[in-house]
Amino acid sequence: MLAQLIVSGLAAGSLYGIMALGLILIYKTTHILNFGQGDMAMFSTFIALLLFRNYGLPLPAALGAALVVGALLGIVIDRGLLRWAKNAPVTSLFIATLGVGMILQAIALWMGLIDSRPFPYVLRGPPVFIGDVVLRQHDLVVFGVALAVSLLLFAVFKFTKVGIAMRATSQNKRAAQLMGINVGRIGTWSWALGLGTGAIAGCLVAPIVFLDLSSMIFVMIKAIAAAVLGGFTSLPGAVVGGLLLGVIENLFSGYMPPAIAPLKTTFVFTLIILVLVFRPHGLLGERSVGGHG
Amino acid sequence: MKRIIFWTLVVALLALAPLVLRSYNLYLLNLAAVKVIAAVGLALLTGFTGQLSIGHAGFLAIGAYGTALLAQYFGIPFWVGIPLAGLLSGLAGFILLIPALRLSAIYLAIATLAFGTAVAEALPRWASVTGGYQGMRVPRANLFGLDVQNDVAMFYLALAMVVVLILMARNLVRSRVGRAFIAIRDKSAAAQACGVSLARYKALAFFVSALYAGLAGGLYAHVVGYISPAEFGLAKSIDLFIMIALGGMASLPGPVLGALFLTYLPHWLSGFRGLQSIIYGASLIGIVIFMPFGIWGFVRKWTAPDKVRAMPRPLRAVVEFVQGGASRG
Amino acid sequence: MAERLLAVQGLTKRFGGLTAVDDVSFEVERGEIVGLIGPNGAGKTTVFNLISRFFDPTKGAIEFEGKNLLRAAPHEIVGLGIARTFQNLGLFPYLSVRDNLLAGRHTQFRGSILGLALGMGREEERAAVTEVMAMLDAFGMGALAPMPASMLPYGSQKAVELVRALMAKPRLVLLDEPVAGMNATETQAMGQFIRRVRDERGVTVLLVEHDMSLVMEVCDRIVVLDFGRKIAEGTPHEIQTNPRVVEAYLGEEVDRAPV
Repeated sequence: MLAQLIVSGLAAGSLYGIMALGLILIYKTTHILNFGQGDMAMFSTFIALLLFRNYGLPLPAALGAALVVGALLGIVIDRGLLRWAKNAPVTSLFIATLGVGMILQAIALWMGLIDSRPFPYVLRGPPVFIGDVVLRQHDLVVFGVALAVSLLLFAVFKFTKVGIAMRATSQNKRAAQLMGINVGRIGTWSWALGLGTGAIAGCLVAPIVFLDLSSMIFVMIKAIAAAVLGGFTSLPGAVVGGLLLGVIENLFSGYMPPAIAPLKTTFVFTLIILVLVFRPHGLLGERSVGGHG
Repeated sequence: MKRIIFWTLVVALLALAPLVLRSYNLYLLNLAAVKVIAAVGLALLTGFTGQLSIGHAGFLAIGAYGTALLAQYFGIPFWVGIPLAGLLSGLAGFILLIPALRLSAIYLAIATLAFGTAVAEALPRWASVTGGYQGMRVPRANLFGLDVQNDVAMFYLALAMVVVLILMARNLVRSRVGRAFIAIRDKSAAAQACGVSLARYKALAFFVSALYAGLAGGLYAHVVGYISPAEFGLAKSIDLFIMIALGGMASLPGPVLGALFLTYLPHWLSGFRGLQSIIYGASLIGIVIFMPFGIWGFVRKWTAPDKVRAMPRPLRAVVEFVQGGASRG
Repeated sequence: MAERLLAVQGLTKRFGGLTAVDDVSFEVERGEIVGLIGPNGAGKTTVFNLISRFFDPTKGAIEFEGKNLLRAAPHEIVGLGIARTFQNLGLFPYLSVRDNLLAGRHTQFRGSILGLALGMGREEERAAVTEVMAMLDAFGMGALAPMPASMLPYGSQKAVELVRALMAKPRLVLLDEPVAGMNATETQAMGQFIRRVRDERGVTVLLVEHDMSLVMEVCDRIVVLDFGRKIAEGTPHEIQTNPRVVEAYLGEEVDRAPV
C-alpha cells in the first residue's frame, strides 16, 4: 500500500515537476511568473492533437511539433509582446501573461477545441507489476521523460554557452549585461525553453485528464505549488518539489480517514501558504538554492 | 452639494428601475451589483493598499455558502445571514495577513492563489454539507413570513447594499485610512515613519476587502437561488481582478465601471464564443502596457484636465518658496 | 539649557559579516542642530534606520527623553516624538501635497475606524486640513497644496517632506540628506529653512548630509563616522581642523580619484 501510494504519487509529481520546470525557467531569468503557462501548454498540446487526428501525422512527429509550437510561442510572446512592456513593473507583467493565455484559449476554441477531447498515450498496454506495485505504462513514460528533461536542462545549463549565460543572467542581470551577455536574447531563450517544457508536460498530462480549454490550468496551479515547495528559483528544486507534492497528496488521501481524505488539494494548498510564510525559500532550501541554475 | 443631488437622483432613478425593466434585466442588474460590491472590496485591497489577490473568489464562496448554510441548517433569515457570512469571510481575510506582512508581491499573489484554490477544492469535496459538485439550492429569502425571493425584492436589497457599501468605502478612502492604505502601497517605510502600522492597516484592508467579497457572495446566493463550486474557482478570481484592472483599481468609480463592463459584455457577446476571452485577454495586456490607470484614469484625463491645468506652476511656486524662506530666515 | 533629548549608547549593527555601525555613542540635546557626517558607507543612514527602528541593533541602546526606543515598533516612533525624512524622498507620489501632510499627522487622528466608515470623521478631517493649510502658508507653500507630490520639482519635494515631518509635532526630526541633488541657491534656502524650523518651532534636528557647506553653516555640533565608528565629535570649527576627519575624507577622495 505505502509503496504503491508513493510510486503513483511520484508519477503525478513528475508531471507537476516538468510543468514547474517550465515556470521556473522563465521566472529565473525574467522574474515574470508566467500565469498563462497552463493555457500555453494547452495550446501546444492541442496543435499536436490536430496534427495527429486531422492531418494523420504520426504521434511522435505530432508530439515533436507540440514542442516546436511551444518554443515558437515563447519566442513570439517575448519578442512580440513583452518587449513592448519594458517600462511596466515586472510584477504586473504576470497579468499580461494571463491575458495571452486567455487569447490562446479563444484561438483554440475557434480551431475546434470545444469539448473535452481524448489524447493518445505514447505507450499503451497492460499495466506493469514491480513487486506489489502496479504502474501504467504511461507512468514509465512520464518517469523517463521527467528524467530526460531534467538531465537535458542540466546539461544545457552546465555546458552550453546559452545555458551559462542564462545562469549568469538569473544571478545578476546587470553584471551579465556588463559582461556582454545579450540579456534580451537570454529572455527569449528562457521563454522558448520554458514553453517547450510546458508543451511536453501538456502532452503527458492530456492522455490522463483529456484535453479541454482549461484542463491544463489546474496542472499549472499544482506546478506553482511544486515550485514553492522547491524554493521557486531552483530547477532541481522544481522537480523535487513536484515529486514531493505528488507523494504528499497521495499519502494524504491514502492514510486520512475517508471524511477528510478527499480534501487533499485543500490540504496541499494550506501547506503551501504555510511554506510561503515560514520557509519562503522552500522546504529544501537554504537561501542559496538559486545558485545551481 | 451638486454632487450629492446628482447621486441622489441617480439612486432614485435606479430605484424606479423595477417599474420599467423586465425581470431578466433586473436579474442582470442584481448580478452586476454582486460584482460591484466584490470589485470595490478588491480595489480597496489591491488598488489602494497594493496587496495583490488572485484568490478572492474564495471569500465570495465563504459568503455565499455561509449564507446558504446558515439558512439551511440554522434557519437564519437572509438579512442576518448575509451580514453574518460577510463577517465570517472578513475574519477569514486575516488568514492572508501573515503572508501579506512577510512576502513580496508575487509570492503574496501565490499565497492568495493557494487560498482560493484551497477553498474552491474544499467545497465540492465536503459534499455531505455543500451538496458537492451539484451545488445546493439556497433556502428562499423570507422577510417576516413574506417570501421575497424574487428579482424585484432582491433588486432593492442589492441597491441598498451597493449604496451603503460604496458610501462606506468612500468614507474610508477619504479619511486617514485611505491615506494609510496608499502610503503602504507606495512607500511602506515612509508610511511607518508617519506612524502607520503595517500590520494594523494591512489587516484592515484584508478584513474589509474579504468582508465586501463575503457580502457580495451572500447577495449572490439569494439573487441566483442556487450555488455550486464551479462559480467560485480561479476563473472568478481572475474575473474580479480584470474588473478592477480594467476599470482602474486605485479609484472607486473604476471597479464599478469594470464590474458593469464584465457583467454586460458576456451578455452582449453570448452569441460569439471566444470573443469574450479575446477582449478580456487583450484588455489585460493593454492595461499593463498602455493604460496602467484603467478606464477611469483614461476618463479623468478627458473629463478633468482642469485639475491638472489649474495647478500652480510648480517651478514658480518653488522659487517663491525658496526666496520667501531665504528672506525671512 | 543642556537637556539630553536623544542618547545613543554603544550602538552596533552587523549585516552578516559586515559591521555597518560599530559601537557608536553620541547625544543630542534639546534645541540643537546636530550633523552626522562621514564618507560614503560610513553607516550614517544605518544609524537613522536604527533610530527609526527599521532594524534591530546587534548591540547598544537608544534612549529618547529617557525612554527606551528599542521597545517601540517602527510606526510608534513618530508618536514618541521623532519624525524623519528619507534620502530618496519619502513623499507619497500620488497623494497631493495636502494629503501628504495629512498623512504626516496620521497619529493625531482619533476617530475610530468604524466611525470613519460611517462618515463620522468629517469634523476632525476639516480641522486637520485647516491645520495643514496653516502650516503650508506659514512656509509660503500654500499654493502647492493641491498638487500631486510627484509633480513637484525635487527641491520642493525635499522641503515638503520636511514640513510633513513637522506635522507630527515632533521634538526631534531626522533629516536624511536634505540637500542631496540641490544647487547652491536651493541648498542655502534649505539651510535657512532648517534653522527656521529649529528657531521658530523649537524642533531639535539631527541630520545626515554630504554637503559640507550646509553642515558647517547650520550645525551646532557634528558627529563624524568612518567605517561605522565614531572618529570625532565637536563644533564645525573643531571638525574642520581635526586631522582624523581630514584623513577620512582624503581617503575617500583618493578612492574616488580614478573614476
